[in-house]
Amino acid sequence: MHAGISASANAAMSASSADSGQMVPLLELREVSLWRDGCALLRGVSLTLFAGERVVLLGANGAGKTCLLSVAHALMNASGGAVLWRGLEPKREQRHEQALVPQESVLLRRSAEANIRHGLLPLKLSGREVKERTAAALAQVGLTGRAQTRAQVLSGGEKQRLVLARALARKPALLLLDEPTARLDPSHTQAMELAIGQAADQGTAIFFVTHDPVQARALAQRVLFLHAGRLLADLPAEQFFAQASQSALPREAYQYLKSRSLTMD
Amino acid sequence: MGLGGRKFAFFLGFSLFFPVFLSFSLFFWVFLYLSGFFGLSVLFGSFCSLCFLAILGVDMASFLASFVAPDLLEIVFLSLRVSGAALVLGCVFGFPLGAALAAAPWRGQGVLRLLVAVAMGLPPVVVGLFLYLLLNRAGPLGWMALLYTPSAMIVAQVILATPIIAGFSGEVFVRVAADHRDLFRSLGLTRWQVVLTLLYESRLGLVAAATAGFGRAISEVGAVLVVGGNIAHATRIMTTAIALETSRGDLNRAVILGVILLVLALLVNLFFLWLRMRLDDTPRVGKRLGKRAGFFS
Repeated sequence: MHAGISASANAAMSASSADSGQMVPLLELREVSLWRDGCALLRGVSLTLFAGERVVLLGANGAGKTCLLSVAHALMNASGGAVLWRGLEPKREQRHEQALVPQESVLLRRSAEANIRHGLLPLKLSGREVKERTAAALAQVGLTGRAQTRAQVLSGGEKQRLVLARALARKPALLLLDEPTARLDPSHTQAMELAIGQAADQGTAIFFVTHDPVQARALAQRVLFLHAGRLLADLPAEQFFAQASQSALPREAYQYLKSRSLTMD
Repeated sequence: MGLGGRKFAFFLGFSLFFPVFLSFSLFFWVFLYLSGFFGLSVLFGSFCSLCFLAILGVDMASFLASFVAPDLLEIVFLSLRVSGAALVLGCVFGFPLGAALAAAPWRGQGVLRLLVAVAMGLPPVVVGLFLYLLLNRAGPLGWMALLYTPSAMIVAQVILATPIIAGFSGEVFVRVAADHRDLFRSLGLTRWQVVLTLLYESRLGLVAAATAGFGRAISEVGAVLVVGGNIAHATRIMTTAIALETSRGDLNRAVILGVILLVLALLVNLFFLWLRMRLDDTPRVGKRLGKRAGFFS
């Protein structure tokens, strides 16, 4: 699976880097900073994300990964700088093109199927389309048999997969994932990665936060490294992981990889 | 009559057997209900309750006869009518008030929150006194001629139940809204979709709030005694009747009324429990205990 993803990733990357000059980026952050209670959580973060890209955000705990994601998804307002969606100031409608899978699954007290249908509510789809998308999303994460089960009695892994299904059913242009597999066992993790990979193959841009470099390597076209609220690296994945041996990376990023024994020395 | 006979039996009954047998019959009512054998649970529960009464020293013949006694049924139905109306009105006023407490901060919200918190612990007799001052013939609302009518009792119970329902439902709204705020923003729901989803997600907590409000209404004596007057065939309800019979020394009748009140409270709470389960159980999976996972969640 990993090999398949990286192969198609390479193809997509060369395509996107070729014409990224003319394209309007899907998401653009310009010098974004975030202050809370006198602490700087993000300092001057700038990044652009194009349609169909797979970007992985790496960083230690407390680096500001979740904050960056929240600002990008407009759950939090940045203290400084600008967040642009397709080159424009974000409106409520932009959310119809984004979907978030948070760290902690938040589900409604309804059946699994009803949860997905609720997620489709703002999109104003026809009844048949809702039905089709719901069934397809459940199948994609392997929860078809659990469609009528109440969400709150699902296991932790199933809940997280249901949250992913709710996100995928919206067919977003950008899928934001905040360590979705942090607390899952390997089999659930694999099921999630598979579904995420499928979505990416269908052209969904992925913004994936993780502190698992192995997962990052499997999914990423581009790697961002965040440390203490600063974006220290924004490199193609190949380069990021290859440079790990040459210490060409920022010191913090190198040490981070070294601590996971992922350097090539 | 010295210390012995009837009196002693009541003393013994209340101090020793009351908790034991009450919990025993409660066990049958609740456990068998949960297990899905509703009919059986009614039978066994009633049987246990009867045993419990017999051990208390209640004369079975007069107990069973009292069920057909029209004045007793009258008292029971008036109780239910007054407290039921108070429950409905309490929800009508209490839920929006709770929503106002939980809504985005507005001017005066802090004051309202304090007032509701104080009102949750209002002494019923004081409420009764206040209403009496308003409703008596010389009072400002005397022209409505409500004093010593069931309507006045409903008003009193609404005043007591509304703050409880508002306070509890406010807590529920705050918690549910906090849990779902990011989700709703992320999905890009419209204002109305947010409101409706919040209401639906709060449904279990709202039923619990209503249960607490009903408990406050039906168990209350002081206020209804003052504004209702405990007039036979007009404004006598179970709690005021128990107070009267006890002070008159007719303990047999007082105990019968007390037990009926307890059983009614149990039935009403079972109904609310069933309602909560019904609301939680989107698809009906099965009726047996094992399949009802998450019943208490």
